[in-house]
Amino acid sequence: MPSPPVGAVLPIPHQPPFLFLTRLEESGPEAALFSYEFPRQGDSFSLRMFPELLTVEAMAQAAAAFHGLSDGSEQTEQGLLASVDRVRFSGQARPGDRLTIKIRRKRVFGELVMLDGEVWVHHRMISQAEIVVRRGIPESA
Amino acid sequence: MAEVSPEEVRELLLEALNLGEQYEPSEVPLDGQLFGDDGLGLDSLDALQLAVALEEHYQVTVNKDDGPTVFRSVQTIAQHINAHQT
Repeated sequence: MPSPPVGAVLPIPHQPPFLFLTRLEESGPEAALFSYEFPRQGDSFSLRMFPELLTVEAMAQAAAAFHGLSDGSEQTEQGLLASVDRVRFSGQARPGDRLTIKIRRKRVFGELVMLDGEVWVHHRMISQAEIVVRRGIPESA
Repeated sequence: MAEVSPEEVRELLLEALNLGEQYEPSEVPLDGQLFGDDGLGLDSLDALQLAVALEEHYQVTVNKDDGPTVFRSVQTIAQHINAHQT
């Protein structure tokens, strides 16, 4: 059975064209796999390349989505993006490419959750980053 | 297993937190406070980065509750590593 579109299962606030997750492909307690179909030119985007920085945004969205899923209950956990570090770019995606976004929980330290993110296209990693999400929403936020 | 020196821990701290361009090792006293305005000004994100670096380099875990004690200074981090490294 095809996996459901992300918006149908996750209440992340992002909407197309600024939602860079199309489907949740796999999800477990420590990791999740998302995909994103980068539209062909003439669709919603008229870009010749998927900007590298948007791969970081895709990883951040995937981290937020995974964080919301990861307690396994129907009640999603809220969180704030705290930091993005150790970003590396090693390739680019073109219109029509299917991006695979991998998220793996690396360490929990109190309210902070560190996740490793990777973006792959055609079996090649094009970007990676270390993302930290803070659990819950502080009252001052 | 050989004892880990505070100087070695200081090098790791500067590298893990990308502080190498900001501080010379000699500018970070081994017994100086790391967190707060009186110290290096590290914050909770730095604590997380440090905890991960210690796990990766020395296979030593620091729990959140122990963080304030272990991360008080370079010296206390080295003591924690030497007490818990297997």
